[in-house]
Amino acid sequence: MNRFFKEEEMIRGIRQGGSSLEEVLVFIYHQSGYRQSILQFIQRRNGSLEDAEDIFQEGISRMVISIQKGKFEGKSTIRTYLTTICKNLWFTQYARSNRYADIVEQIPPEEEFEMGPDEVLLLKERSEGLQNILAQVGEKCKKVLSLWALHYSMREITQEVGYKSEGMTRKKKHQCFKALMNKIREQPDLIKELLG
Amino acid sequence: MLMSKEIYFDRIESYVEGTNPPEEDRQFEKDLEKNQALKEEYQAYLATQKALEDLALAEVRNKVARIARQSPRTAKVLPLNRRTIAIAAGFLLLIAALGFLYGRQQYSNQSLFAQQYETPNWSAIRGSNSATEKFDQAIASLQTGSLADAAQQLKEIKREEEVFATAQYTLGHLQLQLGQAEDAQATFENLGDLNDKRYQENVEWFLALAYLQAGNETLTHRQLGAILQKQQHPYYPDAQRLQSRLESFWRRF
Repeated sequence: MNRFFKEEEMIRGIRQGGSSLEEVLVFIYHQSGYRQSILQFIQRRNGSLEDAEDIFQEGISRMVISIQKGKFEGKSTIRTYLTTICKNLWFTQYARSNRYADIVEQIPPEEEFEMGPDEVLLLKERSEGLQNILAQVGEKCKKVLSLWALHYSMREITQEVGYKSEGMTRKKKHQCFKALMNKIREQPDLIKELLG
Repeated sequence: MLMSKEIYFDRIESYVEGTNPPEEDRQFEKDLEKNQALKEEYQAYLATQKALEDLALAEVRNKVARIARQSPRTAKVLPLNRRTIAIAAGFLLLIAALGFLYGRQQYSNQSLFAQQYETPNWSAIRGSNSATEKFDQAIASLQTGSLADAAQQLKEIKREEEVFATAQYTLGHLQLQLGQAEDAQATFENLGDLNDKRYQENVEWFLALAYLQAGNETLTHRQLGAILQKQQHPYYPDAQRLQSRLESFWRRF
Protein backbone atom coordinates (compact mmCIF):
# COMPACT_ATOMS: atom_id res chain seq x y z
CA MET A 1 0.00 0.00 0.00
CA ASN A 2 1.46 3.36 -1.06
CA ARG A 3 0.87 5.66 1.88
CA PHE A 4 2.07 9.23 1.96
CA PHE A 5 3.72 10.33 5.20
CA LYS A 6 3.70 13.87 6.51
CA GLU A 7 6.71 15.20 8.37
CA GLU A 8 5.39 14.55 11.86
CA GLU A 9 4.12 11.12 10.85
CA MET A 10 7.58 10.10 9.70
CA ILE A 11 9.16 11.24 12.94
CA ARG A 12 6.50 9.47 14.99
CA GLY A 13 6.89 6.27 12.99
CA ILE A 14 10.67 6.31 13.38
CA ARG A 15 10.44 6.88 17.15
CA GLN A 16 7.84 4.16 17.55
CA GLY A 17 10.04 1.67 15.74
CA GLY A 18 8.71 -1.74 14.86
CA SER A 19 6.30 -2.01 11.96
CA SER A 20 5.76 1.78 11.95
CA LEU A 21 9.45 2.25 11.34
CA GLU A 22 9.32 -0.30 8.53
CA GLU A 23 6.51 1.63 6.79
CA VAL A 24 8.37 4.92 7.10
CA LEU A 25 11.55 3.38 5.71
CA VAL A 26 9.68 2.07 2.68
CA PHE A 27 8.19 5.52 2.13
CA ILE A 28 11.51 7.31 2.49
CA TYR A 29 13.34 4.93 0.22
CA HIS A 30 10.82 4.39 -2.58
CA GLN A 31 8.24 7.17 -2.55
CA SER A 32 9.60 10.33 -1.00
CA GLY A 33 11.88 11.38 -3.85
CA TYR A 34 14.77 11.96 -1.45
CA ARG A 35 16.77 9.19 -3.07
CA GLN A 36 16.79 10.78 -6.54
CA SER A 37 18.13 14.13 -5.38
CA ILE A 38 20.80 12.63 -3.15
CA LEU A 39 21.96 10.18 -5.80
CA GLN A 40 22.18 13.01 -8.34
CA PHE A 41 24.12 15.15 -5.86
CA ILE A 42 26.74 12.46 -5.36
CA GLN A 43 26.96 11.41 -9.00
CA ARG A 44 27.50 15.02 -10.06
CA ARG A 45 30.51 15.01 -7.77
CA ASN A 46 32.16 12.03 -9.44
CA GLY A 47 30.54 9.46 -7.20
CA SER A 48 29.44 6.17 -8.70
CA LEU A 49 25.88 4.92 -8.46
CA GLU A 50 27.12 2.26 -6.03
CA ASP A 51 28.70 4.90 -3.78
CA ALA A 52 25.55 6.98 -3.91
CA GLU A 53 23.30 4.06 -2.98
CA ASP A 54 25.58 3.07 -0.09
CA ILE A 55 25.64 6.62 1.24
CA PHE A 56 21.89 6.96 0.96
CA GLN A 57 21.30 3.74 2.90
CA GLU A 58 23.86 4.65 5.56
CA GLY A 59 22.34 8.10 5.82
CA ILE A 60 18.88 6.68 6.46
CA SER A 61 20.23 4.28 9.10
CA ARG A 62 22.04 7.04 10.96
CA MET A 63 19.08 9.35 10.75
CA VAL A 64 16.79 6.68 12.25
CA ILE A 65 19.11 6.00 15.19
CA SER A 66 19.62 9.71 15.74
CA ILE A 67 15.88 10.34 15.88
CA GLN A 68 15.29 7.33 18.14
CA LYS A 69 17.94 8.61 20.55
CA GLY A 70 16.10 11.91 20.70
CA LYS A 71 18.86 13.87 19.03
CA PHE A 72 16.64 15.28 16.30
CA GLU A 73 14.78 18.33 17.53
CA GLY A 74 12.81 19.07 14.39
CA LYS A 75 14.53 22.35 13.55
CA SER A 76 14.91 21.14 9.98
CA THR A 77 12.78 18.87 7.83
CA ILE A 78 13.47 15.18 7.50
CA ARG A 79 14.51 15.83 3.91
CA THR A 80 17.03 18.49 4.92
CA TYR A 81 18.32 16.39 7.81
CA LEU A 82 18.79 13.30 5.68
CA THR A 83 20.35 15.29 2.84
CA THR A 84 22.82 16.91 5.22
CA ILE A 85 23.77 13.56 6.71
CA CYS A 86 24.35 12.10 3.26
CA LYS A 87 26.33 15.12 2.07
CA ASN A 88 28.57 14.93 5.12
CA LEU A 89 29.04 11.21 4.63
CA TRP A 90 30.05 11.87 1.04
CA PHE A 91 32.41 14.69 1.85
CA THR A 92 34.14 12.98 4.76
CA GLN A 93 34.16 9.36 3.68
CA TYR A 94 34.36 9.31 -0.08
CA ALA A 95 35.98 12.59 -1.08
CA ARG A 96 39.24 12.02 -2.89
CA SER A 97 39.90 15.56 -3.83
CA ASN A 98 41.45 17.95 -1.34
CA ARG A 99 38.96 20.61 -2.16
CA TYR A 100 36.22 18.46 -0.71
CA ALA A 101 38.12 17.54 2.44
CA ASP A 102 37.41 20.82 4.19
CA ILE A 103 33.88 21.23 3.02
CA VAL A 104 31.49 20.08 5.65
CA GLU A 105 27.92 21.26 5.71
CA GLN A 106 26.95 23.24 8.78
CA ILE A 107 24.15 21.57 10.67
CA PRO A 108 22.56 22.60 13.96
CA PRO A 109 24.69 21.36 16.91
CA GLU A 110 21.80 19.51 18.52
CA GLU A 111 21.41 17.52 15.35
CA GLU A 112 24.99 16.38 14.99
CA PHE A 113 25.68 12.69 15.12
CA GLU A 114 28.20 10.92 17.19
CA MET A 115 29.80 8.61 14.73
CA GLY A 116 32.65 9.54 12.46
CA PRO A 117 33.99 7.42 9.62
CA ASP A 118 36.39 5.38 11.79
CA GLU A 119 33.66 4.58 14.22
CA VAL A 120 31.53 3.17 11.42
CA LEU A 121 34.23 0.65 10.63
CA LEU A 122 34.66 -0.24 14.30
CA LEU A 123 30.91 -0.61 14.68
CA LYS A 124 30.78 -3.05 11.80
CA GLU A 125 33.50 -5.17 13.39
CA ARG A 126 31.95 -4.94 16.83
CA SER A 127 28.51 -5.82 15.51
CA GLU A 128 29.82 -9.12 14.22
CA GLY A 129 31.27 -9.91 17.66
CA LEU A 130 28.06 -8.88 19.40
CA GLN A 131 26.00 -11.01 17.05
CA ASN A 132 28.11 -13.99 18.09
CA ILE A 133 27.58 -13.21 21.78
CA LEU A 134 23.85 -12.72 21.23
CA ALA A 135 23.66 -16.07 19.47
CA GLN A 136 25.04 -17.68 22.65
CA VAL A 137 22.00 -16.64 24.70
CA GLY A 138 19.66 -18.56 22.38
CA GLU A 139 17.50 -17.80 19.38
CA LYS A 140 14.43 -16.77 21.36
CA CYS A 141 16.42 -14.26 23.44
CA LYS A 142 18.15 -13.02 20.31
CA LYS A 143 14.78 -12.36 18.70
CA VAL A 144 13.24 -10.66 21.75
CA LEU A 145 16.25 -8.43 22.43
CA SER A 146 16.69 -7.48 18.76
CA LEU A 147 13.06 -6.41 18.52
CA TRP A 148 13.26 -4.56 21.85
CA ALA A 149 16.40 -2.70 20.69
CA LEU A 150 14.46 -1.57 17.62
CA HIS A 151 11.77 -0.08 19.83
CA TYR A 152 9.14 -2.65 19.04
CA SER A 153 6.37 -2.45 21.66
CA MET A 154 5.78 -5.32 24.05
CA ARG A 155 2.55 -6.05 22.20
CA GLU A 156 4.37 -6.26 18.85
CA ILE A 157 7.14 -8.42 20.31
CA THR A 158 4.49 -10.71 21.84
CA GLN A 159 2.87 -11.14 18.43
CA GLU A 160 6.18 -11.59 16.61
CA VAL A 161 7.62 -14.15 19.02
CA GLY A 162 4.31 -15.88 19.78
CA TYR A 163 4.12 -15.52 23.56
CA LYS A 164 0.79 -15.78 25.34
CA SER A 165 0.86 -12.39 27.00
CA GLU A 166 2.80 -9.13 27.23
CA GLY A 167 3.66 -10.00 30.83
CA MET A 168 5.42 -13.14 29.64
CA THR A 169 7.26 -11.10 27.00
CA ARG A 170 8.38 -8.56 29.57
CA LYS A 171 9.68 -11.29 31.82
CA LYS A 172 11.49 -12.98 28.94
CA LYS A 173 13.12 -9.71 27.94
CA HIS A 174 14.30 -9.25 31.50
CA GLN A 175 15.82 -12.74 31.59
CA CYS A 176 17.43 -12.41 28.16
CA PHE A 177 18.96 -9.06 28.98
CA LYS A 178 20.55 -10.49 32.12
CA ALA A 179 21.84 -13.48 30.21
CA LEU A 180 23.43 -11.21 27.62
CA MET A 181 24.85 -9.01 30.32
CA ASN A 182 26.51 -12.02 31.94
CA LYS A 183 28.12 -12.91 28.64
CA ILE A 184 29.40 -9.36 28.13
CA ARG A 185 30.67 -9.22 31.70
CA GLU A 186 33.00 -12.09 30.79
CA GLN A 187 34.77 -9.76 28.36
CA PRO A 188 36.05 -6.68 30.25
CA ASP A 189 37.79 -5.34 27.13
CA LEU A 190 34.50 -5.35 25.29
CA ILE A 191 32.90 -3.39 28.13
CA LYS A 192 35.65 -0.79 27.89
CA GLU A 193 35.22 -0.60 24.15
CA LEU A 194 31.45 -0.27 24.34
CA LEU A 195 31.58 2.39 27.00
CA GLY A 196 34.41 4.26 25.26
CA MET B 1 26.64 -12.85 45.55
CA LEU B 2 24.08 -14.04 43.11
CA MET B 3 21.38 -12.53 45.36
CA SER B 4 23.24 -9.20 45.35
CA LYS B 5 23.59 -9.23 41.62
CA GLU B 6 19.88 -9.88 41.25
CA ILE B 7 19.08 -6.93 43.52
CA TYR B 8 21.67 -4.80 41.76
CA PHE B 9 20.14 -5.61 38.38
CA ASP B 10 16.64 -4.58 39.45
CA ARG B 11 17.90 -1.31 40.95
CA ILE B 12 19.98 -0.54 37.89
CA GLU B 13 17.12 -1.31 35.54
CA SER B 14 14.73 0.95 37.44
CA TYR B 15 17.31 3.74 37.51
CA VAL B 16 18.13 3.50 33.77
CA GLU B 17 14.49 3.21 32.71
CA GLY B 18 13.55 6.17 34.95
CA THR B 19 10.85 4.38 36.91
CA ASN B 20 12.24 5.37 40.35
CA PRO B 21 11.01 8.20 42.49
CA PRO B 22 13.65 10.99 42.67
CA GLU B 23 14.84 10.08 46.15
CA GLU B 24 15.60 6.50 45.07
CA ASP B 25 17.65 7.81 42.16
CA ARG B 26 19.63 10.00 44.52
CA GLN B 27 20.25 7.02 46.84
CA PHE B 28 21.32 4.87 43.89
CA GLU B 29 23.82 7.48 42.78
CA LYS B 30 25.27 7.66 46.30
CA ASP B 31 25.56 3.87 46.46
CA LEU B 32 27.21 3.84 43.07
CA GLU B 33 30.08 5.95 44.41
CA LYS B 34 30.68 3.65 47.39
CA ASN B 35 29.85 0.16 46.09
CA GLN B 36 32.40 -1.21 43.59
CA ALA B 37 30.37 -4.32 42.85
CA LEU B 38 27.30 -2.19 42.09
CA LYS B 39 29.44 0.05 39.92
CA GLU B 40 30.79 -2.92 37.92
CA GLU B 41 27.29 -4.32 37.52
CA TYR B 42 26.05 -0.88 36.38
CA GLN B 43 28.82 -0.67 33.77
CA ALA B 44 28.00 -4.15 32.54
CA TYR B 45 24.35 -3.08 32.20
CA LEU B 46 25.26 0.05 30.25
CA ALA B 47 27.62 -1.91 28.02
CA THR B 48 24.87 -4.42 27.29
CA GLN B 49 22.49 -1.59 26.47
CA LYS B 50 25.09 -0.04 24.17
CA ALA B 51 25.68 -3.40 22.52
CA LEU B 52 22.00 -3.69 21.78
CA GLU B 53 21.96 -0.15 20.35
CA ASP B 54 24.84 -1.07 18.06
CA LEU B 55 23.00 -4.16 17.02
CA ALA B 56 19.91 -2.04 16.44
CA LEU B 57 21.88 0.18 14.07
CA ALA B 58 23.14 -2.89 12.25
CA GLU B 59 19.58 -4.17 12.13
CA VAL B 60 18.31 -0.85 10.72
CA ARG B 61 21.02 -1.06 8.10
CA ASN B 62 19.86 -4.55 7.21
CA LYS B 63 16.27 -3.34 7.01
CA VAL B 64 17.19 -0.47 4.72
CA ALA B 65 19.29 -2.77 2.54
CA ARG B 66 16.39 -5.19 2.30
CA ILE B 67 13.98 -2.39 1.35
CA ALA B 68 16.50 -1.14 -1.22
CA ARG B 69 16.61 -4.57 -2.81
CA GLN B 70 12.86 -4.36 -3.40
CA SER B 71 13.68 -1.84 -6.11
CA PRO B 72 16.22 -2.81 -8.79
CA ARG B 73 19.40 -0.75 -8.50
CA THR B 74 19.90 -1.11 -12.25
CA ALA B 75 17.63 1.88 -12.79
CA LYS B 76 20.34 4.36 -13.56
CA VAL B 77 19.94 7.83 -12.24
CA LEU B 78 21.29 10.02 -15.01
CA PRO B 79 23.37 12.79 -13.64
CA LEU B 80 21.60 15.80 -15.05
CA ASN B 81 24.64 17.94 -14.89
CA ARG B 82 25.00 21.08 -16.87
CA ARG B 83 27.21 19.42 -19.40
CA THR B 84 24.64 16.74 -20.23
CA ILE B 85 21.86 19.30 -20.50
CA ALA B 86 24.02 21.56 -22.63
CA ILE B 87 24.91 18.76 -25.02
CA ALA B 88 21.26 17.66 -25.33
CA ALA B 89 20.12 21.25 -25.84
CA GLY B 90 22.83 21.81 -28.44
CA PHE B 91 21.79 18.71 -30.32
CA LEU B 92 18.13 19.75 -30.35
CA LEU B 93 19.11 23.23 -31.45
CA LEU B 94 21.15 21.79 -34.29
CA ILE B 95 18.23 19.64 -35.43
CA ALA B 96 15.92 22.66 -35.28
CA ALA B 97 18.42 24.84 -37.14
CA LEU B 98 18.90 22.27 -39.89
CA GLY B 99 15.15 21.91 -40.20
CA PHE B 100 14.73 25.65 -40.37
CA LEU B 101 17.46 26.00 -43.01
CA TYR B 102 15.96 23.22 -45.09
CA GLY B 103 12.52 24.75 -44.89
CA ARG B 104 13.87 28.14 -45.70
CA GLN B 105 15.92 26.87 -48.61
CA GLN B 106 13.20 24.81 -50.21
CA TYR B 107 10.03 26.58 -49.24
CA SER B 108 10.68 30.31 -49.10
CA ASN B 109 8.80 32.59 -51.52
CA GLN B 110 11.93 33.12 -53.59
CA SER B 111 12.71 29.40 -53.69
CA LEU B 112 9.20 28.49 -54.72
CA PHE B 113 9.20 31.24 -57.38
CA ALA B 114 12.52 30.00 -58.79
CA GLN B 115 11.18 26.43 -58.86
CA GLN B 116 8.01 27.46 -60.74
CA TYR B 117 9.16 30.24 -63.10
CA GLU B 118 10.25 29.50 -66.71
CA THR B 119 11.74 32.19 -68.92
CA PRO B 120 9.82 32.60 -72.20
CA ASN B 121 11.47 32.05 -75.60
CA TRP B 122 12.25 35.64 -76.57
CA SER B 123 13.28 34.76 -80.11
CA ALA B 124 9.71 33.75 -80.89
CA ILE B 125 8.34 37.12 -79.94
CA ARG B 126 8.11 39.73 -82.75
CA GLY B 127 6.10 42.80 -83.54
CA SER B 128 4.55 43.79 -86.90
CA ASN B 129 4.90 47.58 -87.51
CA SER B 130 7.09 50.55 -86.72
CA ALA B 131 6.36 50.23 -83.06
CA THR B 132 7.89 46.85 -83.27
CA GLU B 133 11.18 48.61 -83.98
CA LYS B 134 11.29 49.68 -80.39
CA PHE B 135 10.07 46.26 -79.39
CA ASP B 136 12.78 44.59 -81.46
CA GLN B 137 15.34 46.85 -79.86
CA ALA B 138 14.07 45.73 -76.48
CA ILE B 139 14.34 42.07 -77.50
CA ALA B 140 17.84 42.70 -78.82
CA SER B 141 18.79 44.31 -75.50
CA LEU B 142 17.25 41.39 -73.72
CA GLN B 143 19.22 38.87 -75.74
CA THR B 144 22.47 40.66 -75.00
CA GLY B 145 21.63 40.59 -71.32
CA SER B 146 20.79 44.25 -70.95
CA LEU B 147 17.58 43.59 -69.06
CA ALA B 148 17.24 47.07 -67.60
CA ASP B 149 17.62 48.68 -71.05
CA ALA B 150 15.10 46.26 -72.46
CA ALA B 151 12.65 47.08 -69.68
CA GLN B 152 13.03 50.81 -70.34
CA GLN B 153 12.48 50.37 -74.05
CA LEU B 154 9.36 48.31 -73.46
CA LYS B 155 7.91 50.95 -71.14
CA GLU B 156 8.14 53.50 -73.96
CA ILE B 157 5.71 51.52 -76.13
CA LYS B 158 2.30 53.21 -75.88
CA ARG B 159 -1.02 51.60 -75.04
CA GLU B 160 -2.57 52.23 -78.44
CA GLU B 161 0.23 50.37 -80.16
CA GLU B 162 -0.66 46.94 -81.45
CA VAL B 163 2.39 45.46 -79.82
CA PHE B 164 1.52 46.97 -76.47
CA ALA B 165 0.14 43.69 -75.00
CA THR B 166 3.20 41.75 -76.15
CA ALA B 167 5.45 44.48 -74.78
CA GLN B 168 3.65 44.43 -71.42
CA TYR B 169 3.87 40.66 -71.28
CA THR B 170 7.59 40.82 -72.01
CA LEU B 171 8.06 43.66 -69.54
CA GLY B 172 6.29 41.70 -66.81
CA HIS B 173 8.71 38.82 -67.33
CA LEU B 174 11.67 41.13 -67.31
CA GLN B 175 10.50 42.65 -64.06
CA LEU B 176 10.11 39.20 -62.51
CA GLN B 177 13.63 38.33 -63.62
CA LEU B 178 14.95 41.59 -62.24
CA GLY B 179 13.22 40.90 -58.93
CA GLN B 180 10.92 43.87 -59.33
CA ALA B 181 7.94 41.92 -58.02
CA GLU B 182 5.61 44.82 -57.36
CA ASP B 183 6.24 46.32 -60.81
CA ALA B 184 5.66 42.90 -62.34
CA GLN B 185 2.47 42.65 -60.33
CA ALA B 186 1.18 45.95 -61.70
CA THR B 187 2.24 45.11 -65.26
CA PHE B 188 0.47 41.75 -65.27
CA GLU B 189 -2.65 43.27 -63.65
CA ASN B 190 -2.80 45.87 -66.39
CA LEU B 191 -2.35 43.18 -68.99
CA GLY B 192 -5.10 41.22 -67.40
CA ASP B 193 -7.41 44.19 -67.75
CA LEU B 194 -6.76 44.16 -71.49
CA ASN B 195 -8.39 40.73 -71.75
CA ASP B 196 -6.04 39.78 -74.53
CA LYS B 197 -6.86 36.13 -75.11
CA ARG B 198 -3.33 35.44 -76.33
CA TYR B 199 -1.93 36.13 -72.90
CA GLN B 200 -4.88 35.81 -70.48
CA GLU B 201 -4.12 32.38 -69.10
CA ASN B 202 -0.39 33.11 -68.97
CA VAL B 203 -1.08 36.36 -67.15
CA GLU B 204 -3.16 34.54 -64.54
CA TRP B 205 -0.26 32.21 -63.78
CA PHE B 206 2.58 34.73 -63.85
CA LEU B 207 0.54 37.16 -61.79
CA ALA B 208 0.36 34.43 -59.11
CA LEU B 209 4.15 34.17 -59.29
CA ALA B 210 4.47 37.96 -59.08
CA TYR B 211 2.32 37.96 -55.95
CA LEU B 212 4.48 35.13 -54.55
CA GLN B 213 7.71 36.96 -55.30
CA ALA B 214 6.30 40.09 -53.66
CA GLY B 215 5.47 38.06 -50.55
CA ASN B 216 1.77 38.61 -50.85
CA GLU B 217 0.47 35.20 -49.79
CA THR B 218 -3.17 36.12 -49.67
CA LEU B 219 -3.23 37.29 -53.28
CA THR B 220 -1.09 34.31 -54.29
CA HIS B 221 -3.60 31.89 -52.83
CA ARG B 222 -6.49 33.81 -54.39
CA GLN B 223 -4.87 33.74 -57.79
CA LEU B 224 -4.04 30.06 -57.53
CA GLY B 225 -7.59 29.39 -56.40
CA ALA B 226 -8.92 31.11 -59.52
CA ILE B 227 -6.70 28.92 -61.74
CA LEU B 228 -7.69 25.77 -59.86
CA GLN B 229 -11.34 26.51 -60.65
CA LYS B 230 -10.53 25.67 -64.28
CA GLN B 231 -9.29 22.13 -64.75
CA GLN B 232 -8.48 22.84 -68.42
CA HIS B 233 -6.25 25.77 -67.54
CA PRO B 234 -2.77 25.14 -69.07
CA TYR B 235 -1.16 26.02 -65.76
CA TYR B 236 -3.56 23.91 -63.65
CA PRO B 237 -0.88 21.28 -62.69
CA ASP B 238 1.61 24.05 -61.89
CA ALA B 239 -0.96 25.79 -59.70
CA GLN B 240 -1.69 22.51 -57.89
CA ARG B 241 1.98 21.88 -57.23
CA LEU B 242 2.60 25.40 -55.98
CA GLN B 243 -0.47 25.33 -53.75
CA SER B 244 0.71 22.06 -52.22
CA ARG B 245 4.15 23.42 -51.47
CA LEU B 246 2.70 26.59 -49.98
CA GLU B 247 0.72 24.47 -47.53
CA SER B 248 3.52 22.01 -46.64
CA PHE B 249 4.84 21.41 -43.08
CA TRP B 250 8.29 22.65 -43.96
CA ARG B 251 6.98 26.01 -45.13
CA ARG B 252 5.01 26.40 -41.93
CA PHE B 253 8.09 25.34 -39.88
